[in-house]
Amino acid sequence: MDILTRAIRKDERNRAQDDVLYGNFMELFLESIEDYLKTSARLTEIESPDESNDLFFAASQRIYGDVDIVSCIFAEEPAFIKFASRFSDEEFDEVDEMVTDSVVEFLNVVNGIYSVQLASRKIETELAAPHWGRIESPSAEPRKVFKVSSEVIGDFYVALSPDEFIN
Amino acid sequence: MDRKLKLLISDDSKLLRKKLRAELESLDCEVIEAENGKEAIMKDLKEHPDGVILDIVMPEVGGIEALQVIKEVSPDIPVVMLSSAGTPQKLMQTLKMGAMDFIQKPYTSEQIRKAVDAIRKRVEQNEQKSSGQSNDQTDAEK
Repeated sequence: MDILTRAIRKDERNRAQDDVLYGNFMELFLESIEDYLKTSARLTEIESPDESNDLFFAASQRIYGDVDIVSCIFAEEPAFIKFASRFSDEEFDEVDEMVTDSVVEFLNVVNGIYSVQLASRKIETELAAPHWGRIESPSAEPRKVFKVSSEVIGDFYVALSPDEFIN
Repeated sequence: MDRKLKLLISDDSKLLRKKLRAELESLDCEVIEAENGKEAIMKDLKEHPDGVILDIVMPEVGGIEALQVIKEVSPDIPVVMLSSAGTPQKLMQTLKMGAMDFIQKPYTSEQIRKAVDAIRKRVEQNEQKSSGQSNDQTDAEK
């Protein structure tokens, strides 16, 4: 059993373990961007997203069990639409059910693979149903926020926390 | 098998249902859709599909609960789980409950084709079995 697994199973999770969990998740997230969106992306950890004139479109899903991790993809409308288009291989003009479904499904796939990776370390988790919404800025604390820059999609964000971002 | 295979797909994602329907129709299947486990149970009872493709993580009634009810009502129906939640624990649990196969999302066209072939084979076996039983009954009556 590795240090992370042992610490989590003893309920000794702290910032250091969160960093490892979130680091592993973001590594998988970037691989998934390459695999399923067929583009590369650059990742920068930030305090909070750039100012936006409107609410962000957001997709979120909770992994719960031996660990609790909520992951949230959020973006302004153009990047949200391009993200969805790229994953679903469909053309969209505005955010509709198919667009939100596409981003939600991408997150569901990534979280599913992450859940399997955790299971291989004897960390048992379940997936809650993913959902979408509009947010001003990620409010859950403590959290980590990453800016993801892609030439094809534009800039979008990923936030991670033990707590939900969309109420 | 002379007729089209009638398959029920249950997933809360409209996108996934659209994509999967296209895959299945290209394999000469008739497709019925359900948005969640509750609807899947209702449509299984009403439409009598030949097979079911079932997601696990769905609102209202999830795929595990739906699998349990569907197998109680239709013990012989082939059910394929198609889910992102493909942990060994979920895999074992659903296979023990009677699922025929488990496909981890994202699926490939090849995985779907193989699943459809397996469902078709199982349906043919079931039909031969019930046809044999009915012949035995007729012989006994004579």
